[in-house]
Amino acid sequence: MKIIEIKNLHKIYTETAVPVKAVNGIDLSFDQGEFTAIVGPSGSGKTTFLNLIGGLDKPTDGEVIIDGINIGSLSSKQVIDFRLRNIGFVFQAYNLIPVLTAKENVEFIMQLQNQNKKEREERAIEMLKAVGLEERINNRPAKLSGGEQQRVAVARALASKPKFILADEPTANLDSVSTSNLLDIMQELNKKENITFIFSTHDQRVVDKARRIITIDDGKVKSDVKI
Amino acid sequence: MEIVKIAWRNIWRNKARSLVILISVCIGMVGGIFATAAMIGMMNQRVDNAIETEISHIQLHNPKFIDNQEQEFYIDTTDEIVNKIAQSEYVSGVSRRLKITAMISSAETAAGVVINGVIPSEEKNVSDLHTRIVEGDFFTENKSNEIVISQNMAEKLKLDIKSKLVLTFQDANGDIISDSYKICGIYRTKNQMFDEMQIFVKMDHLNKICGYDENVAQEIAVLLKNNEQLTEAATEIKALVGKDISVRTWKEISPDLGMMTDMMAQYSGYILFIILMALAFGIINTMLMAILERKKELGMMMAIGMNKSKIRIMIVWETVFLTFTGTIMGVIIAQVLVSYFGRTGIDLTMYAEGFESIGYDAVLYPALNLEFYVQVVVLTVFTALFSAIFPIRRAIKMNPAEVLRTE
Repeated sequence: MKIIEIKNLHKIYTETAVPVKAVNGIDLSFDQGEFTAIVGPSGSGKTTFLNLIGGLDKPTDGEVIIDGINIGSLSSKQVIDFRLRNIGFVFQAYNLIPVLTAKENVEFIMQLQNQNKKEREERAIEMLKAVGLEERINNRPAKLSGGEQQRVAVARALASKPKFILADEPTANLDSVSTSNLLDIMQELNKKENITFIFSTHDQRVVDKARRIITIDDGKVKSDVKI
Repeated sequence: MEIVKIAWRNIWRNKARSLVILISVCIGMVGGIFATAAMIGMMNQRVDNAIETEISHIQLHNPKFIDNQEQEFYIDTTDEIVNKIAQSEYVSGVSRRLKITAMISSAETAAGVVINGVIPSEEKNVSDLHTRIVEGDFFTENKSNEIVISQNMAEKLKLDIKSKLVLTFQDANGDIISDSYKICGIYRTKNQMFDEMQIFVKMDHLNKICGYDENVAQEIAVLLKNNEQLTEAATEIKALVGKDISVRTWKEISPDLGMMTDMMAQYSGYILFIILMALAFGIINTMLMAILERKKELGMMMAIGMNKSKIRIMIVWETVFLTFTGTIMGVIIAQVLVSYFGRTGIDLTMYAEGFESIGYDAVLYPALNLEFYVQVVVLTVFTALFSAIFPIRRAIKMNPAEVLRTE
């Protein structure tokens, strides 16, 4: 079942002296339960592409249709609400709110969704258990390792019950053990819960785990391989 | 609730920076509140002195006496009026006064004065002059031609207790007469201007000398139980005495005092407003720095679905916490200082001459009222909201994709 359809997507940055075509006519679709890595050299347009799928940026042209809704047609307020209810995010860094504990960070997104306190607490603990952090729920990010912080970010992304999770170079700042742990957890969640993950990455270890690899260069899809 | 918690914790992320601004707000508030309390205290003391010693809460006159303070413009039904007014629930005391301009002479020199012919028992119910006697008594039972003058006057005329002096004034027919008096008491108030002009004799004696009926007085002074009931009491007394008698409150009699007390509340507001506005720029600067430092974090929060109104609320709470924490600390410290100095007073006796020459006490008792604290809260909320405007504008202009992309 297709959950994301991308049609003739363009993003041109005009703020620079010479306009930059960061995304230059991409047509793709993603099915429920995919575990996809988007790869390409730096500046190839991976992050811009992910931002467009996630509604963080507006396309210059083309459409991003998620579950039948063209997010380009939504107002900025509607897009924020759409993101909150449909898309989970894991960023390379600055993922967590430093003044909240791991549990509070996970609860935070559910509070934005107006879930009740009991429900929030139960699900936050459940999600943190799922990523193996049940012992660290009351630690603030500063007391967690980089890998643990990314696992909390995954738990937070899952807690909001999104249609899919976008992860922008989630392992870029992690050592190999943390990377391996994080990838195992995400892969397990993907298999068990049929959660869709779309990564942008430079990391071969992520690519090795992916079941679909899309290569982007100069804002265009160079290859799209399903394994 | 989570947003409030984040906001509170956010202000403590950079403890040193937050403490600097909190202490600035605190010191500003202490300075503003204490300066205001000193001004209000000084003003209250001046008003209390004026009411209790000089003019009372309400005065009644023949309307013509107000325009032209000639003794011929008197009230001739004082018994009836005093009895009516004394019945009022607002009234604490009533005293009638003959007011006659005169020349006071000793062997040494002479001066212009106003004679107050009073009934000592009535006057004690209205004025605290009898408590300000520094030598002798506020009249005795024995003699009729006793006089009470100020210490200032006694020094000027080089007179002492039991000294004799001569008053020269007009009688009821307009003829110039002279009468001799013996000093039975010397008073000293906190208002040199009052002391230099006002002398007191027994009313029955002055009536007799001047040839006035015993029911005559130029002034009836009324002391109320509570200054807060001034307007109601004046309305009631006006209704009791009718249109032919002028009824004026102390604010009308001494408009400078009335105006100063009315404006004091506004002045204190202005002082606080200026202090808080100056502090607001410190708060804005702190908040802008905090927002710039947390650009990526705010971008992440927006990206995961925190909408702009929640970002606004969070920043408003942060400025409110910054402003209010400093304000509360400042109010507590200021209140402690005001309470302490309100009891012990601030001794400015080295400037006593200057203060007393304009009617003010040389020992200052700072005072504040509840109204002022309401002003503080309202102005602090205003400052917090004002300070939040610029950081909010900066924050909500951010594009999450852009701030997350930049290094």
